[in-house]
Amino acid sequence: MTKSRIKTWLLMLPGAGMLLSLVLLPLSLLLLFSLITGNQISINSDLSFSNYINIYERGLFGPLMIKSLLIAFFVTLSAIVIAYPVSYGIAKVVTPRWRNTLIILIIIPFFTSQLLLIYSIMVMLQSRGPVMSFLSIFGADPTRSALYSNFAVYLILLYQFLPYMVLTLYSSMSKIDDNIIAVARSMGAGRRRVFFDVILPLTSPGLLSGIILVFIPVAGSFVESNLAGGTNGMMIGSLIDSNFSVSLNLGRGCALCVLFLLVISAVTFVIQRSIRYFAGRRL
Amino acid sequence: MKRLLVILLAMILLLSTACQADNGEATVPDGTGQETTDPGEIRKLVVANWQGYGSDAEYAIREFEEANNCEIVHQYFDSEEALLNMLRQGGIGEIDVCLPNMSYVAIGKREDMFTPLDTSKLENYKDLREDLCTVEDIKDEDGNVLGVPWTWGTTSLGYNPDAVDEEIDSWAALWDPAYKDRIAFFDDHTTAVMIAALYSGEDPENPDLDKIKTVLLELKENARLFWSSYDSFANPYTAGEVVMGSVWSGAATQLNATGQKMEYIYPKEGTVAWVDYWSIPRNAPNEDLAYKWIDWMTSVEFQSTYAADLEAQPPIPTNNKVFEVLSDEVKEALYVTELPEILAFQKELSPEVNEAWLDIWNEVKAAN
Repeated sequence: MTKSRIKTWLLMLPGAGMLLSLVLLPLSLLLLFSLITGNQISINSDLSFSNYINIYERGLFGPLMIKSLLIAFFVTLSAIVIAYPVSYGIAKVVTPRWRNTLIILIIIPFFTSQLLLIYSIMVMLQSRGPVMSFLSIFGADPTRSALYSNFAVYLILLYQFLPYMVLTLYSSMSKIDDNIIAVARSMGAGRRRVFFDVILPLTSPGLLSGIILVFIPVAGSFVESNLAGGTNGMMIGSLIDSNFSVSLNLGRGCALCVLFLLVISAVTFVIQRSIRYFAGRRL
Repeated sequence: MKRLLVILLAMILLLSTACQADNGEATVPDGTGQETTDPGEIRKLVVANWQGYGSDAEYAIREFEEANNCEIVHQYFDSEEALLNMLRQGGIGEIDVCLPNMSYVAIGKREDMFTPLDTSKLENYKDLREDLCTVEDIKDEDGNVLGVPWTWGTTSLGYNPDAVDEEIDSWAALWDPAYKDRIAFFDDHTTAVMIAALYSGEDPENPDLDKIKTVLLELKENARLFWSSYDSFANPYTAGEVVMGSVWSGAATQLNATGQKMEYIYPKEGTVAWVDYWSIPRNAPNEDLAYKWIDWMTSVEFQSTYAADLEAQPPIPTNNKVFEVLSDEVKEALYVTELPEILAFQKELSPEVNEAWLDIWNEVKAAN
């Protein structure tokens, strides 16, 4: 082996080591634990698919997973619809002075804890809160509220995750050369044409990372639905959480995690492919 | 822009490490920090309990230390599991007396952690509430008791008297369509199953789970939300969104203390209850003192002082004679003017039963 090849291998070591210890090892442990029954693992413990069979027989995973994916879908879609004009405005319309201020305003919510964000929006929405007090002028019952419903969970999640979409889209948007847009306009493209044929394809990397940053955590969330989802609020995250925090059934909890991971990976794969295809065809 | 971000991030990092450092220092002096100047003379009684839970009150320690010429050292745990771990990892032979709850006495029994108690050494034992003393969970195979009941509390039914016109005396109120969408139910699988069992006349320790599921599904139709912490109950209750629910006695006390109105009642079908017990771990270095400590903790003198100290949020005392001493206001604040007659104890559940109950509760919550 030549000296340079050894150097290459040595340089790869930190990265490969991190990948091994932070991704491959935990994932294989998760897989291994999903095959045990109960909590203890030893060298001679039996491995079986009993947890998966149990999950199938209980029949809770499917409906809850679909529900979580639906909520994640609507949250992500709304985030995209709101974040495009916002990030376009920040990147292309306002002066650089304002740009920094606006970006900081969007980052500020990250400084507080997620739980605080949830509680603050719950205070806004709760009965006799600002929103309901305002609506009561028009005859609504102020002791009722939009809280404790799936709509409230959707609102809270959108509020929490919108900044991720805005920031990722902004970083793609600010890289677009103003001249490209100007050229498209001068060649007679309308606003809609400019958006779909120029801006959307050029921001597709940002869009993709935005979707991944919003869709996956939202699908796995459970605090929001536990606090504000009411009696029908349960999501797949609550089911997984209860297996660890309430009954300490490590095996079944891990099996649920593996299934969740598989579904999410498949969905993400489809999203990624369709965005690539769409953006590529337009370019 | 970038520089600004970097500065902000650095500030956050600094702040968070500073906070951590503070925490680290704060935890060190707690617990075993005190050293006696004269270790040969004064004996040390090591007590394991939750922090701020009665036994470390200044008067409790002073009187016992003066009467018995010893020093009390508290070791704090922050969960029942932590107490077990404390005993497993060297606590046996070190700790003289500790306070597990009923189900953890049962778990400790399986691991042979506790000494069978000679109740004839305890003067106050005969005055303690009987059904708490005779529960199977705290007895070993020979019928010896492993714990002496100290305090107990309930999860029962609370409602807003301004919004509810009738006198409520039954769990059936939670299923009453008159209060549809005005009910908050505790999001906990054991109390959920036990309350449903009490309501439908099943045995709360061994109910027919199919029936429980049907009953809980009806309840879910009627309820507005499932609460999991004091705040998640108190906020919608204060705002008037819900007017009734299954609730901890402590939550009712706190709501009334903050100017909210809540009636806390014990339904005729029975009330869900938890109990904390004093136990002596095996090989306790000062067993004789530990007996004296338990006797002091269950005495009318201590229990009435503790119960009257409402700011400490005391639970219900176990000594029957205490209720003769307590003032009417204190009794009212603790909801013990009339004590519940039928108690369904939160006992130890085997992992299989716990799993089955959790599955039922999850199925109810996931149903549409």
